[in-house]
Amino acid sequence: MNNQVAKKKMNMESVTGLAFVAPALFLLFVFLIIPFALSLSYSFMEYNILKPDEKTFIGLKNFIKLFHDKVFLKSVLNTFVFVVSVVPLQVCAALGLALLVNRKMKGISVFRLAFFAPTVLSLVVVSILWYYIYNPNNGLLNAMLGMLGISAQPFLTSTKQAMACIVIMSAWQGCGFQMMIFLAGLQDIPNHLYEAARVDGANKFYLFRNITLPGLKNISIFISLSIVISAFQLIIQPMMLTQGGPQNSTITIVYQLYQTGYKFRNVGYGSAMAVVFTLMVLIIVLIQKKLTSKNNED
Amino acid sequence: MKMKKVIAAILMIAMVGSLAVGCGSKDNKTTTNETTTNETAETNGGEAIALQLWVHQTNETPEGKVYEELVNEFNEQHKGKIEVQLTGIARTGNAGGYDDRINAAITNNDMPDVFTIDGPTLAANADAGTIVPIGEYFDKADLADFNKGIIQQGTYNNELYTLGTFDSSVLLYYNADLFAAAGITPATADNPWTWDEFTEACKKLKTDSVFGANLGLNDVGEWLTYAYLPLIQSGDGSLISDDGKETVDGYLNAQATVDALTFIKNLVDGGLVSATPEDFTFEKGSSAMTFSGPWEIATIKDYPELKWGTMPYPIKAEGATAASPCGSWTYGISKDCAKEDQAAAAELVKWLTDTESCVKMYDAISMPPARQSSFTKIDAFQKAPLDVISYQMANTAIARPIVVNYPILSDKFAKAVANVASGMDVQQALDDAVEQYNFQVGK
Repeated sequence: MNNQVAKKKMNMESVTGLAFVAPALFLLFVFLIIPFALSLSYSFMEYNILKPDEKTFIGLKNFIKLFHDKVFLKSVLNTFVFVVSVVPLQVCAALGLALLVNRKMKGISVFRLAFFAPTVLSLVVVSILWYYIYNPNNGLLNAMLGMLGISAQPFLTSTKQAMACIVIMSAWQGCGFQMMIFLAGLQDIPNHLYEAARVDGANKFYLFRNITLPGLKNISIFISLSIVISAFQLIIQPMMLTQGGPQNSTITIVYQLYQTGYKFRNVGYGSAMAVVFTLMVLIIVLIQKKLTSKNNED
Repeated sequence: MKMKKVIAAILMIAMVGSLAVGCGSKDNKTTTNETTTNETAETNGGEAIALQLWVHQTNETPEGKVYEELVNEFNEQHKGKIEVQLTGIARTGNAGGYDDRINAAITNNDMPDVFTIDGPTLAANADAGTIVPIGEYFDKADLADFNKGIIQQGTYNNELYTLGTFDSSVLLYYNADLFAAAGITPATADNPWTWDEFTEACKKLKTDSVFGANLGLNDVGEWLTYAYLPLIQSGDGSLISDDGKETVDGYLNAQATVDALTFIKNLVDGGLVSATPEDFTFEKGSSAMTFSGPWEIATIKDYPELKWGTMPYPIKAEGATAASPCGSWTYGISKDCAKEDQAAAAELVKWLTDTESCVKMYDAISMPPARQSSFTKIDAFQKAPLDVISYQMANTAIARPIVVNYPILSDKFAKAVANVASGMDVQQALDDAVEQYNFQVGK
């Protein structure tokens, strides 16, 4: 008797639950699952965007071509270099800024606002701004280096420096947002922990290592995961600053994908890139999640 | 517990999947990307033929305003017969820009009846059948009035597909004050400088704060091909074979191309031009010369203290072929325009490209008209500084290659120019370009 009521209740609950989830699922299907399924099917086709009626199935040819595509392989390498360098830089910058602005001081909100401001700006605007800063002839950065007695650098025109320039600019633009999240995390750490430690004679470094960092652990995991995912999507900065150059040193997967699909009208080949890219990111994120959640359970 | 994991997995796929699907929708919020006029077309009696016209400019730009004006006049004149609805879509805004919208419309078989096409994409569109031939709707005598380059760029397999309101060119603008100070006499329209004379002039003009010229090397895209293809043509070379086979090996990496890029490389290496120029350096006096199109004149007008003039394209050496760029946006009638509406659509194209419309467009955006009869109606083209344009248009203009894979070809050439400017060996850059082109088109 009791059991049956419970069962009925369960049913009702799952129906309501489904009703609540339905709109989200619908959107997920329309904007994600279906397009991805289409992408997947196009990746096995020869498909010129101007000739949608002449799609032909060509099996794995697009994927085989990918592994012989020097520019694509270069773009994979560049994307990884970007992710590996921007994630630690951006996390550290965000944490550092959060520590700086986490204090009671007159006008501290002005600083918080200033550090947060770049994230509100469009990446296009930020990129144009930094194009002027990086200009090797009369840019701000070279002028500043000149004052320090360092000779002018080529920056965006150098195959060695262009990617680093993009990394620094991206971290600068993005870290304000994560700073805010870190700040919220810092303010969540109970003050009595610090007080107790101080009574026990702990120094500042000890407080940071053993109270602040552990207290920010979950937030750090969230932040690094979200930065990794957005870093993989790098396209606007190279598009605006270097157009993928010099000598393909800043070409990225998504940029290459966009060019192939839209500019060169080769939707089939572009879709193959999208599929490989998505799987790659999925695997990396899963590994990252596995590693971090294991640490979390203890 | 299990449910949680499933939900977590779905969310993760959602997060990551959105990378592949929605990689470009972030920046559309900037400004209005699209404008429409005449949305209430049906108020006009049911019988009128309704035509859709898409242009690559919104009515916030001077060019877009002219389209709007021309369409309004057309609708007024054809009341009850043809009703045109104009949609202006800006080219910027990734994935929401004009080209992307057109591509999407092609896939959905939902193309506007008439739309603007950039000249060099004609061959691909004609080959794919997204546009239909329009020659039968025009008189031979009327077509003869168009600039040769306009007909050239609109013709594929001996069929005329597109016509334009305006043509374009690139000139060598010079700062008269800096020229006088350096003791340099500018070249005249029919007696251009050679590359050596250009380089010598740059050397004289170069100072700590002034570059000899701005080549626009930061704009790695169609600009580099448009502007510097004539350097190759001046050495009687080309980017691709014109025998219909579209071979690039032996063209894109031939001696004429190597010479042209070496000319640019020497200018960069000698510090005479900047590999990363900013905008408006010519107007601000930090470049003594600049290669730019007629659109530059509108910008120059904002700097009244600047004294300037124009010169023709430099030639490779004394006696070499004089070549200059030409071609711009055109109108095509789409495959989705109903057969019985094609005549009306052609009527619209005729209206947009007639002598008066060309003059109107010139008045608004300073672009040279597509018709000779319009040239004669504009006094400015009979004297300096614009006489160089009419001279080039009539004597030296050569259309860009009319080949199906032009977007890839242009991309590879532009990248080669940029690579050379950033220090790469010329032959190496061009051989790479050939290899990349062949790889992309599957040769």
